[in-house]
Amino acid sequence: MLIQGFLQVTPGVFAIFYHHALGKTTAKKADDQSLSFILGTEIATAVFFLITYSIITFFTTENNFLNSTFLWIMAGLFFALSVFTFFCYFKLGKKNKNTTKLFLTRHTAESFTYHATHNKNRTDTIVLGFLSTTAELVFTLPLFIMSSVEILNLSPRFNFVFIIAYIVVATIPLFTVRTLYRTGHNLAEIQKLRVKRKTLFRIIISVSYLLLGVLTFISGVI
Amino acid sequence: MKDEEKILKVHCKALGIPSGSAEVFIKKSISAAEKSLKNRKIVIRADRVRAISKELKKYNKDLAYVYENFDKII
Repeated sequence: MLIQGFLQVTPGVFAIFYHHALGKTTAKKADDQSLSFILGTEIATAVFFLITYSIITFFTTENNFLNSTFLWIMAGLFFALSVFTFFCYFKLGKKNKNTTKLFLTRHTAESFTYHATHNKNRTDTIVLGFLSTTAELVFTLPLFIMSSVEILNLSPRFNFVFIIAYIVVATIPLFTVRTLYRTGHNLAEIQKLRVKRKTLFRIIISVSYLLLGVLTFISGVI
Repeated sequence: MKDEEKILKVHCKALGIPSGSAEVFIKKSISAAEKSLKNRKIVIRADRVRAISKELKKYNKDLAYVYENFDKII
């Protein structure tokens, strides 16, 4: 949950989208449209989480899926993601020192920027939110899997609460950006803040994956 | 340069810069940037963006920053 709150593709696209909406329409309309974007993100998180949860539930009840091999694979995945986020999540190099360019390919990033600045209606906005969440699936899918495994150990009464909490945490960065805009901050200030904190974000995400990997490894061996 | 003017106007509105003064300094910045790039044989988009944002810095730092870094956010 914590890791998902620090991922940067969706907040980045959202910041561009909100800024452009402010430039094209009134503040009230931009605020309204931003909710559609957040709705798209919530739908994507809910869809992917529930699909993962149902697959995990099916395999666990049918084939006793949660054996140590599965946990070893998950631990390896988390270690790999830890290394990947540390070196590749934000593009490194002198040229990218004062930017928040992410792991996305140039065409994908350009495409997101284009769609964030050229969307015409509510449906476009919801789809943009959905797609920007999908772009981070490499990082979020293992989290969905492990969270589903954790949910299975909970009482069925808490499953729904856990899923809702997960979706809420995933959208906290978006609500933060929205609040910043609503309190009079602009894209320049938000972007400067993101540039300033990018090393911190990178370390938090990487260390969190590493910790998850260690915990999964320990539970797989012991 | 027509496109740049349009984009800059959107940025100005989003940043809360009054449209009257924005229009004036956008035109001034673009023409000054054009002048500075006049002697160059090859001008790519990045050169134009850099030149315009250098001129914009004289009027509004936030606008110059947003214009220069807009495609470097994600």
